[in-house]
Amino acid sequence: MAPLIQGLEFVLQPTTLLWIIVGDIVGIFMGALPGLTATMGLALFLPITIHLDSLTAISLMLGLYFGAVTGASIPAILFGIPGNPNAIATVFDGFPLARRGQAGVALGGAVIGSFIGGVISTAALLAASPALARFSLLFGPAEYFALAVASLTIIASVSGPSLLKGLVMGAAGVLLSTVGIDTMTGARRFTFENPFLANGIGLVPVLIGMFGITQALDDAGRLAGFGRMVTQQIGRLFPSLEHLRRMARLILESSWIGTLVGLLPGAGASVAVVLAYERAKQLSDRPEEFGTGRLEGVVAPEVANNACIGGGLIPTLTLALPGESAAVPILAALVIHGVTPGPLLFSFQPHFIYAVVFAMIAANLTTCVFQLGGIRLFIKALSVPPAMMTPIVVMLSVLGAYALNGWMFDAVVAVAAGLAGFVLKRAGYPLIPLILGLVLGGMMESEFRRAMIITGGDLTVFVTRPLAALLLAAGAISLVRQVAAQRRRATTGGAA
Amino acid sequence: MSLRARLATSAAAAALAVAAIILAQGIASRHVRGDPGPQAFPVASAIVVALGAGLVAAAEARGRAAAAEPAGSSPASGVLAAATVGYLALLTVAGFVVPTALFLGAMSRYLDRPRRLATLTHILVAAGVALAAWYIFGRLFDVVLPTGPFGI
Repeated sequence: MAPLIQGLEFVLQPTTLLWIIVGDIVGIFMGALPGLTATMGLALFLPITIHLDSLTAISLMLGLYFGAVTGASIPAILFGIPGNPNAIATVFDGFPLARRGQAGVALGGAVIGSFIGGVISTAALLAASPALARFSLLFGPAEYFALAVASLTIIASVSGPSLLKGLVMGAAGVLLSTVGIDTMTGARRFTFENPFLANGIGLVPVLIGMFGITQALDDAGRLAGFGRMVTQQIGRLFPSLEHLRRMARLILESSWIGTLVGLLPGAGASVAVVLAYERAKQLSDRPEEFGTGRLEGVVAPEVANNACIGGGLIPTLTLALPGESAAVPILAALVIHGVTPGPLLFSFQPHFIYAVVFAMIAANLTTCVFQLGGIRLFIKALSVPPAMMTPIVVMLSVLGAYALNGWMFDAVVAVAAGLAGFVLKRAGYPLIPLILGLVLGGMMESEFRRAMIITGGDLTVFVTRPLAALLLAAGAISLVRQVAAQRRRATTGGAA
Repeated sequence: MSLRARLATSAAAAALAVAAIILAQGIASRHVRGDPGPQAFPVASAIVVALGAGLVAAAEARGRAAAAEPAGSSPASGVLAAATVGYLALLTVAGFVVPTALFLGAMSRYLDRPRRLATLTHILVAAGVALAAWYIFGRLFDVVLPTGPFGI
C-alpha cells in the first residue's frame, strides 16, 4: 500500500501537476498541427526533461503524449487533415459531421472517447503490475540479453515491408551504440581521438534528428497537401448521454482493441484505430451510413487511439520494448534518468510504477479538460501555415540537441542523423529499429558479456535457461512469420 | 527514390559497415576469461549490417526488394536540407539569433508556395521566433547559446 500512496502523493504535488498541464497544452497544440506528431513532440521535449527528476520528466512526457494523441482529432474533424497518422480513421466520419455543422459533438465525442480509452488502458497497466513484478525475479544476464535480442528482432521484423532492411537498421543501431569507451575494459572504439566521440553517440541527438529533422524534410516536400485551412462552426460540444450510453459496448471493445494492439510491438495505433472503426461498423445497425458522419465512427477510433498509450507502455516499462514509436522517446527518457526499464522496475521501484499510473490518469483528465475548454483557442493554432512551422521544427531540433550539453557536436549529430534518416527512409529503411538498437545496444552487449564471464564463455546458457530460450524463440518466430509473409506477398505479386 | 539512389544507399551502408569491421581490428582487446572482448559486438553488428545491406542492394538490383516508402517531392526537401547544414555552419560563427532569423525567414518564404503571406510577415515572424527561442533557452533555461558579433 505504501508505494501506491507514495506514487499518488508524488503526482498530487503542484509541481508535478503543473508539468503535466504544460505537457498537455503543448501536446494538444502539437497534435493539432498537421505534421507534428506525438513522437516528434516527445523527442523535442526530451532535452528539457534532463533538468527535471525522473518522475517529473515522465509526467511531463505523459502529459505531452496524451495531449498530442488527443489533439490530433481537432484537425481531423474540423479540416479532414489527420494531425498524425493515428487520427486517420477519425477523419472518415469526423469531417462529414463537421461539414454538417456538428463539429462540437464530434470533438466532444472524440475527447470523451479518448478519456475513457486512456483510463481503461491505464487500469490494464495497473492490473498487470503485480504479475509482472513476480515475473521479474526470473531475469538474469542471459535473459536480459535474450530480451534485448527478441525486442530488436520483433521490432525489426514488424517495422516495415522488408525484414532485411529492419534487421540492417537494428544492427546499425547496435553498432552505433558501441562507439565510445568500452565500460568493461576501457578500450576506445571508433573515437578517432575525438573527445566528444569518446562519450559515445548521444541517443537524444539521434532521436531528435531522426524524428524531428527527418519528418520536417519529408513535410517540406509535400506542403501542398496542407492547403485546406478553413474555419468551421463548432456548435455544441457534447454528445447526449443517451448517445454515449448506446455506445457503451463499442467504447469498451475499442478500449480492449487499443490496449491489446498497443501491447504488440510495431503494430501501432494506426492499426488499432482501423480495427476499432471496423468493429464500430460491425456493431452498428446502419453500417452503410459510416463515412457520412456517424458519431460511433469518431468515438471508436479515438478510444482505441488513446488505449494504445497504456497498452504500449506495458511492454515499454516491463520489457524495455516500446509498443509504439512514441514510446521510444519515453524509453529514452527513462534510460537518461537512470531508470532501467524491465521486469525489476516493478520489484525494486513499485512507487515509480504507481506514480506513472497516477500521472497517466492525471494527464488523461487534464487533457480532457483543456481540450474541451480550449477548443476555440486551439483552432487558432491551425492557422499557423506549415511553411512557417516546418523550418521552426528544424530550428527547435538543432536547438534542442545543442541545449543538451551546450555542445555544437550534439547539434551536428542531430543534423547528420536527420539527413541520414531522410535518405534511409526514402530508400525504405525503417528508422525505429535503429533507434531501438541504439537504446538497447549497451544493455545487449553488457548482459551478453556478463553471461559469458559467469559461464566461462558457454553459449549454451541461452538455450538451457528456459526463459532466455523462450525469448529467443519469440524473436525467431517473429522472423519466420515475417519471412513467410514476404514470400506470400511475393507470390501474390506484391513487393518482396 | 530512384532505383539507382536506393542501390547507392544500400551500397554506402554496406561500405560503411565494412570500414567499421576494418577499424574494429584496431580496438585493444584485453579482457577476462569468457568475455568475448570489446571487439566482438562492433564486429558482429557490422557484419550483419554489411551482409544485410549487401543483400538488399543485390535484391534491388534484381528488382525484388520492397518498394521504398512514399515521400515528399525532393526539391523543397533538398533545399531545406542544404539550408539546415548552412544554418548549422553559420551558428558557429554568427551567434544564435541572426542565423536563426535568417534561416527561418528564408525557408518559410521559400516553402510558402503558392504565396499566401507577405514577405514582411515572414521576416517579422522569423525575427520574433528567433528572439523568443533565444529568450526561452538562453535566459529561462540558462543554456549557453552561441554568441556572434552582437553578443546574441
